[in-house]
Amino acid sequence: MVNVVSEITRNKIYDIIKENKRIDNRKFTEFRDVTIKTNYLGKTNGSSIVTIGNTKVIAGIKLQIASPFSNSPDEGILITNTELRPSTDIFGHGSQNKFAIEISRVIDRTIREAPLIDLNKLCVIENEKVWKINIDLHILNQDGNLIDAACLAAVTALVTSKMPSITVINNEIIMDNDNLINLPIDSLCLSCTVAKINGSLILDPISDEEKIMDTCLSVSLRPDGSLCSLQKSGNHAFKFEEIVMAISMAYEKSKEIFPIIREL
Amino acid sequence: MNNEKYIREDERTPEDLRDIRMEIDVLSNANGSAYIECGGNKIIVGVYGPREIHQKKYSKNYGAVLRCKYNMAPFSVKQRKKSGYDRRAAEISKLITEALKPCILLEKYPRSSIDISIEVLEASGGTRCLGIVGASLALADAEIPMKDLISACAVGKIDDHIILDPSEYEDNNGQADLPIAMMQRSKNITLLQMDGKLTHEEFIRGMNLGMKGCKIINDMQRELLIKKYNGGIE
Repeated sequence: MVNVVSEITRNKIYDIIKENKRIDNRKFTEFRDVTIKTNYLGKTNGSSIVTIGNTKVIAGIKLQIASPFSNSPDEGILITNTELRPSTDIFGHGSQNKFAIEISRVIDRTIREAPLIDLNKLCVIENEKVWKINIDLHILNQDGNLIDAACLAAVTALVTSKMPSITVINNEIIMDNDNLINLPIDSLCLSCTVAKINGSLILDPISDEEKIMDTCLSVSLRPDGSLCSLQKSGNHAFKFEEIVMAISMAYEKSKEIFPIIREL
Repeated sequence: MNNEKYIREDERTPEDLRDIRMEIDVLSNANGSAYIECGGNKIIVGVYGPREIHQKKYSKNYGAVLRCKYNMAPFSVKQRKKSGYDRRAAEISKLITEALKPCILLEKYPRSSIDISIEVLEASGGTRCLGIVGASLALADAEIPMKDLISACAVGKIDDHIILDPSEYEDNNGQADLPIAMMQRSKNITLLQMDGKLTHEEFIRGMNLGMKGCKIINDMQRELLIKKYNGGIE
């Protein structure tokens, strides 16, 4: 990561955090404004554009029939791919970038473990044909907190996705494109990232805060408050008490965000 | 949910680690190296450096660059794995780098690099943690100044029991997996991941169990290194 922050910005963020304030006048536990717009793209099965402050992520869901993996012949396939577009410059771009890979893998784990989608119901003909869900996440603008924005985009896009209903007659698949149904949704999930700057824990870091933060913890939760995935990233360490504190901060916040997803 | 009486499929109690065998100084070309065997895992770690960095654009004038490569051999798993650097390896390499960074005094070696290669010869659950344990030993073997030794172990959940150091079977059939790495003296946690389903209370129990496991592994690492300097290694 290009970690160049001017001395003056760094000192300002440190000083202001000592006074229990943040540079954009938010509280430590306050998110920026979240907007979600679903069914944004016409040629996908589902899509969603999410903004958290200036951070902007678009998710597109494409479904297709494919052969299952040999170790899970009766389960659908879920593939998550993240691309950092040139407009996000900061990390370099492409999907082979380690930051892009980390985002994809954290979101993939979150969705799989929740489980957001009941993959067993996506089996069409056992051993032969299953549904394959491709989640493509494009980061259009980067202003911190990419994992939360990307996770929210992926979840809202999947929740609002439609797929054609299918009938199998004599091992032949007949797709009914006029009769669209929802994906088999099981349990919702979302991610809340807690950053640690100079010993203080803050939610939803912006880009400048992310550049100077010690480390951060992405906490993914289900609506009942149980954990479905954790990922620590960053070059410094956490204390055990801080981790416990971060998880409860994330849980309190998730109670405010789940109703927004449910309303869609 | 009585954790005390639960006997696992390999006859361990929930709080037992698998048998671990550690060795250092196994590679002749590396500055430091370590070999670890734990259950069915076989991992070899080499540390090269501090040495001059070939691509100058990656060098940093305020300290060494730490580069870890985690790689799984094609024959390390049941179904042959395509050789090469995949997304899983990229993520684990990034995490291991970040887990080791806080403890190494990188600022002592400006404009150089320290390269760690973690080679998994056989995998059976918990390779990323053992990779960190090995890397930490190899760094100590290479006599690179560190603030502390890093030890790591995983905690799992199976049949609603919280268990230490899940085996391959427990990893695949379990309900949760929680690898942690920590610096023993400062109790700083440098790697934390989780997937699966854990309640808040189970998470805290798991963390406490994991920290106990790290303590045991740390003692073993320490003993091994002390033995080297007593001339007892041969």
